[in-house]
Amino acid sequence: MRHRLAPLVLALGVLSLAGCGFFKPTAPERPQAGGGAQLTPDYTEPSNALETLLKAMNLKNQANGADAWVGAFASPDRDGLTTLFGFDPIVLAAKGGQDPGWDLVRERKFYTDMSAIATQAYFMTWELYVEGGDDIVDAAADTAHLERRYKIYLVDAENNVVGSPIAIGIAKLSFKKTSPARWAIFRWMDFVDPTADPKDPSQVSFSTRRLDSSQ
Amino acid sequence: MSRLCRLALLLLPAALEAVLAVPPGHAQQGTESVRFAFADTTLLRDTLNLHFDRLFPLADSLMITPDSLRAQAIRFRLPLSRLVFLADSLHMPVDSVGSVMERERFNALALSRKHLAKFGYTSGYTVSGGTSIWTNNTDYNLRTGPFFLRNATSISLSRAGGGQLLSLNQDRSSTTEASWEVVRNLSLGARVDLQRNAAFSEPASIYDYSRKNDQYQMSVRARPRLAKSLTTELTFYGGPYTEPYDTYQKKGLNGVMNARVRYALGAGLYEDLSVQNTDKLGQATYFGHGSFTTHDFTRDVRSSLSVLEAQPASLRVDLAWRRDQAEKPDILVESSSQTISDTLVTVSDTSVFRRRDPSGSRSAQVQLRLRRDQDRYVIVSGQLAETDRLLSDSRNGLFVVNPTSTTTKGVDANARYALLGCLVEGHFTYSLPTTDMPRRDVARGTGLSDTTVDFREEQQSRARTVEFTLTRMLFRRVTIRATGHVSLTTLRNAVTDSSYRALAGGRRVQGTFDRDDYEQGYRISGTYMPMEKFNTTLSLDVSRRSQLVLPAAGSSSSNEVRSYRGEWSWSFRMMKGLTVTQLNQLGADYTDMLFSTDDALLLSYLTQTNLNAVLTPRLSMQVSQRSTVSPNGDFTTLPDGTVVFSPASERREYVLSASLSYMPAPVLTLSVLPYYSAMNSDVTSGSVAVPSQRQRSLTLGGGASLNLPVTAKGRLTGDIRRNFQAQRNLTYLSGVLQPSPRSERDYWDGSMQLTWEF
Repeated sequence: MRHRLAPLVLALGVLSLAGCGFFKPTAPERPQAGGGAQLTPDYTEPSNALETLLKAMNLKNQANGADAWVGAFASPDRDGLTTLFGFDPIVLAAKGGQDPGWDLVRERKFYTDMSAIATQAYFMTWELYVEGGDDIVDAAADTAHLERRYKIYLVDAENNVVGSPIAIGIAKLSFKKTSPARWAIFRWMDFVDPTADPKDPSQVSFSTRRLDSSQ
Repeated sequence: MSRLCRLALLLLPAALEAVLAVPPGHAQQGTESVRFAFADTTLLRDTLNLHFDRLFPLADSLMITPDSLRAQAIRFRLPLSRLVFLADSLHMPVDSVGSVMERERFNALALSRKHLAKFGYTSGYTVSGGTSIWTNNTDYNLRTGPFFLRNATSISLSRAGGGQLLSLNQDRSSTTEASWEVVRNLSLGARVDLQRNAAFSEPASIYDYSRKNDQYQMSVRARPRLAKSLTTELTFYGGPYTEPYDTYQKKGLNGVMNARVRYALGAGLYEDLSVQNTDKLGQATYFGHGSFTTHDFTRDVRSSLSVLEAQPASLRVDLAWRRDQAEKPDILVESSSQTISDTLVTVSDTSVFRRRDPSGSRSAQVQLRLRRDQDRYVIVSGQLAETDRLLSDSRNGLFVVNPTSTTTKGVDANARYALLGCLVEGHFTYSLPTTDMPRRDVARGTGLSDTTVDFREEQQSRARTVEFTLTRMLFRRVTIRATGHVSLTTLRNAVTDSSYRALAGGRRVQGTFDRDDYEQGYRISGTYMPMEKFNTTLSLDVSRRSQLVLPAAGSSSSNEVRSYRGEWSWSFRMMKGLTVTQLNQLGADYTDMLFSTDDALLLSYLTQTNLNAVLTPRLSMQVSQRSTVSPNGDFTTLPDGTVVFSPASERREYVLSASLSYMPAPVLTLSVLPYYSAMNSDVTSGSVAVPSQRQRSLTLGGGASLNLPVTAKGRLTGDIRRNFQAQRNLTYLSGVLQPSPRSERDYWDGSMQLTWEF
């Protein structure tokens, strides 16, 4: 009889342990109005939107960095558009070939995960992707197409770049002017940068980082 | 302390005492347990003439996952029974058996004195998209009397890219080892290891290189038999070494000494002690900047003590201690401004210094196992571990040493108990890692520019998890399983120094936000098997996950996700050689942003059907269809305070794939693999759904697999497939189609190996 009661006694013991606050999370404080070193998002031009993305990444999930990053992308309720995120086909095939159906909830998590890759400060850059041709801005249709090479470096105390980039890739970006002061990205087609060192495991594109984030 | 806490402290010892009162041990009963009613039976499929009949009970007994055990058996081509027997007889974890057996093949003392001459040649060609790899390997073994000679040569040439970008990698290596057993259980030997590695690209890249690395070593191996219950192995090898790098080179002498002592006192006590000592004395040269001496070393001691391993009550104590150090040259570039000819210029002064990165670790683990049989046991273990590491870092024109240390304490318990037809399993873990580490962040504040500063931060994590599973056969054909879990991980961070504030004008850095991650959930599944050829399972999965950022500066991202999943699956063998399986799933994820109104809902409906048909002994076919519909939207608060759901978008995906295989002869299999996918995405504008995206993709692959004997000693194996892929992505702007071309891709994919043995 003693053995038969044992699991019951054990279960009661653990349940009572759970009841004494061992598994109770702490309530977060209310967000401070304009708390932290806030970034002022600027999406008034495609180039300004890229600058805002850059600053948001460098902010590393502090203050309103995540909101500024995600806010650059078109959302149905704000812009009447859904952002399409495309992945490099070779990366996608290597990760199982299944497009996870990227949305802004996943993009926010990707931003958070990306910010946690290293403890050092980040330095993100946009470079002209010459092979992609000139920027195309169609004023009549309020659309723009920009192709850029992005890189994210770690930087030391003197703002010197340390080591190779922790993310590198080609972004083919389509913008739509959805209000007088807002250009929203509605398409981010991501590709592996051929100049990235394939032997360096950290030199991967956002395609890889995004798909890793969705695991 | 609350009443519940006091009750828990009283009840836990009582429960442990009751469960741990173990009767005398007896042989494990062979009855099948209900715990395998939900197992993935696809793992039981025969592969490479290996059978996996008792995979689940064996994996359960060895406490590894069934797929890991299966992978070990396939990797080393060992039947499960042989793998388990070797693990028992060698006193090692089952996942170490294969690698130890491979290593022992090259131990002269481990081989018999029978004459042996064996030559093997393997050539392989692999192509995938724009990448091709050609490999050639030879392996020669000669044993005659006390002499042993082995040579392994490998050449790998790879080519990637095409058109304007091309990348070539060439790796060549040859290892020759000769040894002579001068007296019984003592051998002397020599080893030559030649390596050439090169990488080229067109156009030329800064990553191109060409390296040469030759190693010459002598070796001494001994296995003195000091006592019947004592097994001793001593190994020494050493010689000159060269380590070429892009910017510097190290040369010198190295020596490695390994000792392993195993002591068995009957079946009750088993001790395994291993010591490894590595030293490298040499000279490092930073090209163009002089040289200095270096000393690299590794000291590693591991002990594993098992007491009464096969008895109902057993104890295992594992201890490990390690220290290592590596030295290498590094450069420090210091820039200063000077006025030369009335012009301000920046002058860089480069100096070379010795960079030393030592690290160490210590760990202890005690495991107490009380086991009546495979359905009744308790395992309690405690761990204590420390690691420390020193890393050099450039800071303000100086190299400073940054210590990082982690201390981990933890306890976990696993229990299983069969009672009145129920199988109850419990799992509890509590780990307390604390890390003291250097951090770099930006000090921000009004009136001053941002300043990047270095400081130290202590991160304390507390992770606790409890999980219970109850499995019971309700009736003869119905089995239910209920699982519940709760977990909480807290992360608390503290900036532990303030010296950085002098550089930051008195400002403080933010530090890492404190946060709590909480999850609770349960899953109830029931499976019904009215006949051998039909079974069906119904499941309900409910969970709640909270990600809470605690300080006000970051708490705006705190959120809680409540997930609900309902699942129904069935499998029916309609006739001999024709089986249909189907999965239907409904899901809903409610995201609640705790401090904003950006709440969201994601719904999903999934149906997946698989048809598996063996039409004739030579012809088989698998057809799979999957459709997913995922609408999502936001919650909006109306002026009167009513919260309504507003659809935002809907995504519909369809996949149809098939695999048709025909085996005209035992050596050849032909296959066709069509794959079609379609995705439609609509957004809601106003209250009207308008198209936003359309994707269509078709892949058609066809190829052959070969397993062809080439004379009596050779074999040609592998597969080759040609793939054609066409894809089009259409995007709509405000419902208006944007022109987009169709992309097509035609490529080969495959791998062939020719193996020859004499």
